[in-house]
Amino acid sequence: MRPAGLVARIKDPFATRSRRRRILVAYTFMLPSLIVLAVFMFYPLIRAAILSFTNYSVFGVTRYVGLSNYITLFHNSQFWGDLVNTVYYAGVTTPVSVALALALALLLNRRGLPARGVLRAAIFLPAVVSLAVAAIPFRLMFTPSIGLITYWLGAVGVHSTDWLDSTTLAMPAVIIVGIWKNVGFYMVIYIAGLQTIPKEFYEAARIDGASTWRRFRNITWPLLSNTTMFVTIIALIASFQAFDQIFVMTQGGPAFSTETLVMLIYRQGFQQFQLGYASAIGYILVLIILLFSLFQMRYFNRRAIRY
Amino acid sequence: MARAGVSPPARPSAPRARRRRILGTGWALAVAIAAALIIVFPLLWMFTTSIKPESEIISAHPGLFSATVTGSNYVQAWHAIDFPRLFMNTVIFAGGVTILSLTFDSLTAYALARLDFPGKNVIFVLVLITLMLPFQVNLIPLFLLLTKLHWINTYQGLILPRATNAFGIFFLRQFFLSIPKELEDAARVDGASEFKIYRTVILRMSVPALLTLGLFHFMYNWNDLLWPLIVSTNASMYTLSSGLALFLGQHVIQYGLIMAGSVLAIVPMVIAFLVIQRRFVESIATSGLR
Amino acid sequence: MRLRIIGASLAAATALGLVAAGCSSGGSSGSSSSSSGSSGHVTLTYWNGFTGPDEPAVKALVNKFNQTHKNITIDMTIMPWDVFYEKLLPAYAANNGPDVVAMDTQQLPQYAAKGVFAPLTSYYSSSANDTSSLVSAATDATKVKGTQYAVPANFAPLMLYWNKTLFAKAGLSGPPTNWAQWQADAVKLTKGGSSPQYGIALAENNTIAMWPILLWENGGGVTNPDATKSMLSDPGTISAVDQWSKLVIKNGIAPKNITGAEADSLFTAQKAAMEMNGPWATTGYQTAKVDFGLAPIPAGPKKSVTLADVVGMSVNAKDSSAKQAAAETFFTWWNTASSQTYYAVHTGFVPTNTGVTAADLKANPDVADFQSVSKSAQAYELGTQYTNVETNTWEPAIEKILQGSPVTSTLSAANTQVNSYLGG
Repeated sequence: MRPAGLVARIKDPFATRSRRRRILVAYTFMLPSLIVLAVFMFYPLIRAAILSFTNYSVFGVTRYVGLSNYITLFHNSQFWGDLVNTVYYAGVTTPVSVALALALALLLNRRGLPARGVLRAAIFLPAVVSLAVAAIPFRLMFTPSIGLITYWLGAVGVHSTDWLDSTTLAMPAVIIVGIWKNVGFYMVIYIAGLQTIPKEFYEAARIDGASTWRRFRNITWPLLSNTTMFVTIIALIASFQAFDQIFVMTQGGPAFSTETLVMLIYRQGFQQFQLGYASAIGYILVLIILLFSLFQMRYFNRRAIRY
Repeated sequence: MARAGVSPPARPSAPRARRRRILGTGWALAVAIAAALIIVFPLLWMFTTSIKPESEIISAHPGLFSATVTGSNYVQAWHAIDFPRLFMNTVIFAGGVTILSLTFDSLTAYALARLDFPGKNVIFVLVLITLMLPFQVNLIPLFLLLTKLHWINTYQGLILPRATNAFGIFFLRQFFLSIPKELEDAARVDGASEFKIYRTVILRMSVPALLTLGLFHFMYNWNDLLWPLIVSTNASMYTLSSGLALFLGQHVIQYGLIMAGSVLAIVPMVIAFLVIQRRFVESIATSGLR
Repeated sequence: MRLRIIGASLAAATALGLVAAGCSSGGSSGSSSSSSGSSGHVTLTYWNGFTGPDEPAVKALVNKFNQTHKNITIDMTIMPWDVFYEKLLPAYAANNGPDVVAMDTQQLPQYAAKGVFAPLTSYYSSSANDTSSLVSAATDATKVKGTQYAVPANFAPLMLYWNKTLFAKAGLSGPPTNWAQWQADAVKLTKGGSSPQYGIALAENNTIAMWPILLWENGGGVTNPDATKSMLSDPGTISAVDQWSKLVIKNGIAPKNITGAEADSLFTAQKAAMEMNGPWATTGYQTAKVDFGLAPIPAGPKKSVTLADVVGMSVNAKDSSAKQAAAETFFTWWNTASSQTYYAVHTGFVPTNTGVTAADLKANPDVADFQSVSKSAQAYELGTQYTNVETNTWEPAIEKILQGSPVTSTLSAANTQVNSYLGG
């Protein structure tokens, strides 16, 4: 394209423009987003941060209470129990969803597989349904004593117990629904990522006689690292914020065994209207997610392929 | 496939390779179909429930299908929630958010991915943080803000807070980062403005990502139950998902109705997905990337 | 290229649509100083959670009111109860709350304590409003610390639904009338195996309160009637919980942790032979062709009592006197014998007006049955600490006990917790 000499002399054409012009252009691009984010995201976010240092309860007098919300939190065994539940939920849901999504994407991106569109649509379908409605058949499935699904399962010889009754089985049930909901979504993102890998690489590898596993390990996996980082972080954030199916299926029970931090925020914020306290919990959650995400990003950045 | 006249070194003979490939494809297809069936099963229940008369839904010997197939749940659902009006609201809401969000998100993502300026990482982290804060914490300050702006019960109140989306910015930034830089650098050397580069080079090569993101935005907002209920105090401004929530009574759940309503709400999304699906593949083929 | 043109035209269309819509957005936004036109016309915004099968009857009645009262218009918005409780307080805080609300009387004390509702003492003392013909259990439930803050909108006592087919199969001739029979019947009606059957569908979360009835009938309770002290460690309470939880755990007379909706499903599917439930369930069970009978809750060792669920209507404390008067006109109209007859026949709720006779309710005879137990009904009131006591303490305690936690110590811990909420 360009003569080698020319490339050698012009290192970064962008740097030749004035610094001010550069900043102006960049911020002009970001302006619409920044305005919307500032008004509808940052403002409530900062307001919530300030509220976490008060005893704001929507009605009545609001007093500044310093760190007392946070201190109360640390002494609250409910908070720690919910934290453990949250990490348990996220720790299982994230890797399983991402791995399954990758496997399904590879499967459904295979050349020559018939009916790919329909199969992808079928697996993507849970993402399209409202979780509050989808949780209804799931509740029925996990409560065999009501019998709708047990009847057919029994017909094939499978007997089950009531998952949502038990303090040990309720969380796995909720995790299964969480994975079910999002795996198709992550799969589609992976498919988009897979489509950007130039086919020539695979052709070359095939001609060289590389096996399927080696093609995956040396071509697919490294070139997907940007996508993987993205999917993992999104899955992580989503799993820390899981709410809908827990709300509908167990309401945090039985005996708080499926209650996560977000449910605690909901209870404190919307049922007790202790919004200052709820905001404090919210920010602790943000901190935790941020730490996990930064860790993820550093892990992937070291392995990222940039053109 | 063996090329005419050339015999590739150390490869199994063509018919055996083809048989192995067909076997592999068959096995893959079986796994894919099994996965799809398992995943679709609850939704299958929803659909079969929607065509059963209410009396047979919760019964002593439930079958997946029932002898009597009825469309009465659909008719009732259609009338009970003023379907056409809510459908229009949903299209305006989801469509408006998608278009605005795609535009704003891609502009911002381009700046974060390709331009170099002070504060770049700070802004990126800030954007990520908005993604991390649970919406329950934001909800009431946002509600109070909208009330002050008198935007409750309006389309702008529904759409504008969502006109840009941290997820979209993040998604597109990652995608832009993975596009080879040579084309843009060439354009820059030729003196093209950043905006021109954005329009011609980046957007053209990002069609699959934009389509995907557009679908996601559309689908997420199409399904959103809580937000329209919070922003609207008048049922004529509800969206489809929110309207469906009205079938969940305090003591009684009308299973047939709510399943019928849900199916009606899903169908446009499924069609949209299937259409996008094909455009996806077309766009790859015509993008000239390979 | 084509995509860009399509995208651009869609954007333009949306923008135009937004502008057009913004000029004519749907409906009013519930401000408390709304149109009081020159003719003295008053518009009242009314929020409630009457979703599901109740909705058509409520809408029909409100429409009728609007038609027959030309100077008052009720602008009603129905939303799920969850969303209702999420929005109500913020709306009031933003001075944008509704004029009239309907709310469960269990939640009423919390809101009354925040001063968002107007006291209705003068409404009740004025004989023109005929409040003496309202069911006394209902008007008791609408009081907060002795002051009236709501007017009953509906009233629902619980009765024992029993499945005649299943009873006959077990060789039982009729419904139980006391605890000894009740417990024995429940055990007899429980069958395990591949097609299990439960003696009774007992729910403890997301449900109309069923366990408290068992506590009351044994002389116990969750709290004392004033909701100032916990009764969870009272001998009556402990004994009731002990008896019934043992039956659930050892004999499996009921599933362990189900919601009200699931208890209903069990009864509908004829997998449970008994259920304590309100009048709203009759239509569903009839549609499912369940051959059920209605009986008063079997008499307990100490008392024979049932629970009443009451929803009351309240007025925004900041409303003008014109609006308050209009609201009161609506309340009175809602509770007239004719309105209540329509409501009862179409929803199954018991009329709030005692002047409605069984003869008036011929179209829905089950309602008459429920009406007959009104006198022994009491409301389950926990004062301003409802959420803390019920959802955060009592329900988890029962769930733990059904999972095998020892009764006395679990209740004792819960007792301390409830007292800390109430005493403080």
